Amino acid sequence: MSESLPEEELDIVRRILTGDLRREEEPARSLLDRSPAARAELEQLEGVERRLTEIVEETADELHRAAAGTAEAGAEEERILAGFAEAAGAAPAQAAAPTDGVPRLARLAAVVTAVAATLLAVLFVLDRGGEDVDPLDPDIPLGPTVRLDAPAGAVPDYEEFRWTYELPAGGYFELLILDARAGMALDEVFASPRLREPRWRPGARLDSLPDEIRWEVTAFDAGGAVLATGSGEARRSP
Amino acid sequence: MSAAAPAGLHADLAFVRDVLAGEADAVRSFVERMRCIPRVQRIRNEKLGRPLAPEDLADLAQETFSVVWGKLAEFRGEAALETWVHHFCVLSLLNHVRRKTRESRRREREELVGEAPSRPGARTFASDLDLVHEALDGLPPDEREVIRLKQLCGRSFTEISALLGISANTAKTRYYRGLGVLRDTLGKAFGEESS
Repeated sequence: MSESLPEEELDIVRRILTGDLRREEEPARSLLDRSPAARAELEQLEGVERRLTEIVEETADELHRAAAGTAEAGAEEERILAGFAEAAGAAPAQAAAPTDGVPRLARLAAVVTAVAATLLAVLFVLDRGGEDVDPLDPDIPLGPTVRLDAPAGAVPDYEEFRWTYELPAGGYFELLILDARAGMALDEVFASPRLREPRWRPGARLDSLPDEIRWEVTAFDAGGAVLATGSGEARRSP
Repeated sequence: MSAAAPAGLHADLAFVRDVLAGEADAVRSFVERMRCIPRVQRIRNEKLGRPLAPEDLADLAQETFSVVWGKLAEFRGEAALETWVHHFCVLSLLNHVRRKTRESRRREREELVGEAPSRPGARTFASDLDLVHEALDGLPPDEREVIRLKQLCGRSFTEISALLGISANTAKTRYYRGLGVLRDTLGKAFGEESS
């Protein structure tokens, strides 16, 4: 949000954006005529709205193409659906013929049990993990999280990176630091080797780290499979 | 069979309730409708220049289905089921591509003697719109919900107010605040103003 505009001007911009006030109406017109900052604020936020509209259009297009099917859809897709059905505890329609000899009622009971068990497991995970979710982490909604402890927000410096996640035997972490300064496009500035402990000290690298960073930690099991991720932002504020 | 969805909500809400209740026909139909997951991800993978191999895509589809299945109780019927699922398809794919990129960079480092310097300039994201997806997902929940309903589901502030049980004015304030956060996040990510 722009901090350079007075509150009353921000309110006018807000009313234009939310449809309460038209640009040509007063006091919108006079504000936009006299204040380049207000015009810039409005244009930037309308730019965000346009990007969101593009997402809607892209989503509709992809779903339309998906519904129409593709030439590549075939046996592989049926295998994938069979996997879905297994995960959901039910057989897909085309595989539902009672060839396995399991009575329908027994199958139905199995479905209900599996669904209930899955829901209980999901509720447990959501309940346990909900408070740890970093709202700024783009990965978080899709899986388990590594909780990032420090640095977070404004800090004097990045003396030590610390996080919380209990690794299984043989597991390891990888730390990635990205340049989050404006104009730097989140370029990667550091990628760690495998780390066994939930911390890392930059040491001599400290000076080379930018003043605003995004940092990401990924936890792997011994076989290299991703277990959880977490990311956060920090900036130097001496 | 559940009762029809409340006025203003998509009929898929009643369908999802049947699925969650474990009705066998609904679960089977649900699985069939989730055919959109591999298809959307295949389309998206093509757009990105095929960073994922077919076997990766198959694994990813299973992973995404698990996410969708686990979050199904959160579906509130503001849009069609497939529209709701699409967002998970995209985010899962981006996460997968990102992991794969990390893994290949790690291998590159391990092939070099000692600790090689990172490669400055390597981006971890796929496209501008992908960044918007991620930025949207990173919003605080209150703002995210209002922006999603307004922009992605085409709801009016009056409808949003009723759906969320808040005043229309609060909905507008959250919308404006959310746009501001998105603007800052995207401006930083794109290295320019997001207009």
